[in-house]
Amino acid sequence: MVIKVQKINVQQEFSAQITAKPEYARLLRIAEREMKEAFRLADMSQPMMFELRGLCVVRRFNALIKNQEGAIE
Amino acid sequence: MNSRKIQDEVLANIELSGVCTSYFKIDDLIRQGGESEVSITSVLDEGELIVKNRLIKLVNSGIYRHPQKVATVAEAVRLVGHVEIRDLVLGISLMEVLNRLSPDIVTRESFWKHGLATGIACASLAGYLAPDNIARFFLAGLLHDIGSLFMYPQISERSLMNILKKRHASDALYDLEEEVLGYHHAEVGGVFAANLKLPIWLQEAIGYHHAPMDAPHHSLEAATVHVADIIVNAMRCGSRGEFLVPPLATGAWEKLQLPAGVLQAVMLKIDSLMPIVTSAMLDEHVIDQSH
Repeated sequence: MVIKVQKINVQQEFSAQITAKPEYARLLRIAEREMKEAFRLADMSQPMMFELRGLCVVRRFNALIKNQEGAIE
Repeated sequence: MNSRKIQDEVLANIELSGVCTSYFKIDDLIRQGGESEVSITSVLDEGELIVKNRLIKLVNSGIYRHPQKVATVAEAVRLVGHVEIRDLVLGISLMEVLNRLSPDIVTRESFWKHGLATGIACASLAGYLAPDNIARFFLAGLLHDIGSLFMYPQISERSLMNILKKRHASDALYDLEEEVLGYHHAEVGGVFAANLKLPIWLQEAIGYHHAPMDAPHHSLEAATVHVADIIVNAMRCGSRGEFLVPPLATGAWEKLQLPAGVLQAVMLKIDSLMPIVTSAMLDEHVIDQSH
């Protein structure tokens, strides 16, 4: 399963998926934590950086889901 | 920029003769107005086979939006144009030479993947900004960090350890380089490009990619590389040693005048083109190096 989003309000966007598969909440938290660390030097009041971090959270979240589903298969 | 110090400490023993001969010959033809498909093809036929092969693969890689594929250099020249071919030849030739150097703090594969991904990101942004100059922007992205290749092998063990120790703290790597050495890799790359008499826009795109709005004449190219570098660092697509996503310089994103929605398209382009462009531009032994 790969999640595609256009607008980046990560928690809101993924609420349906997380309700359906509660273990995704943990993966989303991991993705968010990693990106928070990677963007430590960035000024998040800059819209471009805010958008980029959101996209990177989604990208990382998808990679974690893919890894987990691959491991289960 | 501390050009004298960089020249003395880093670039004093760098031999430049015979580098990028085909590029300079094509550039001369274009400047004199005597260029044609035949004359450019002839210059490339006299040069290295590997440059011609990579040129054809790169034109077919998808960095251009045209659907046609080319089989020969002449077809590539006809399809993308003389100036574009000149700039692609410079990137390929320079990468062939610099690929022999070790970046020291990361693997060669990681270093060049970061350059190639930044090149793709720049070419993708150029699709919105300057669709007739895709190669110029690809080239600027590809080569933006070459200063690291000269700088890290030259600095003392003590300086290197100082930089690496502090890398885990909260500074960008180029700030640490500046703090320890008095200059950073982007400035070294800019001085190298000037020594090689590369075009001013390329000197500035490389030299000012961490301070794009300070570029005297070509802040659009420098800002494009700056933004592309941030995107690629955020995607963790190769690395020159940076742990953190570099900060966005004031005015750089506004300079491009693009909506934020473009970011997702650029990231998708990087993901889709990286395997093809990497296979076109990197030798297998470099790709295998880190496995």
